[in-house]
Amino acid sequence: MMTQGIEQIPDSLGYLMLNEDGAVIASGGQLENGEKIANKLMHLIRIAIKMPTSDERASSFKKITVMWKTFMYVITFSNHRVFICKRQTNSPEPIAV
Amino acid sequence: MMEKSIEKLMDEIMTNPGVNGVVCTDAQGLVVAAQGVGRKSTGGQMTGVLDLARDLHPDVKDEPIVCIESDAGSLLLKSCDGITIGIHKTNS
Repeated sequence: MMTQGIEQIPDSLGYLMLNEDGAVIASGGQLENGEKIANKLMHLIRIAIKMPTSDERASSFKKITVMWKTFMYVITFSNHRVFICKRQTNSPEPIAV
Repeated sequence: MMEKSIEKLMDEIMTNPGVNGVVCTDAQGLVVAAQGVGRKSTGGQMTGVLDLARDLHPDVKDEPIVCIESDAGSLLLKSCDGITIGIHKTNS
């Protein structure tokens, strides 16, 4: 299955590729066979994409990020597919002086 | 009194570079205060998205931050102590 390089993203903990209906096309890592999380994420995406981000009406959608302290979900769309990547949050190390 | 301090806080947020709107809602999604682009925001959607985000990992204690980005701008959402704040930013 072509996943278009989503499995090669640095700091990735897992990935999901869904079709427009929310069915899992490909998955891996912590999100392998993650049908339950895919359903929850699709529910969130359907509401989030309708939200206005600016006063311009014709602003095309690009990306949704759901962030916690240690990890995040990065969601984007391409070619009628939903790409979801679970990534580790990289907190920069304090500089030793 | 509370409204006054929220308004003051929102004025402060609006002075940050790139910020063109702020909206603040209560736990039910009712808009408490809004400024700039935030006046067009729907509070219910904001709290709804954050509730769903929290539901992804109910075991994680810290509150999630949701960022919705488009070509024209981005919207950052976070809730704290039952109050949800949405910040609209331009992409400049």
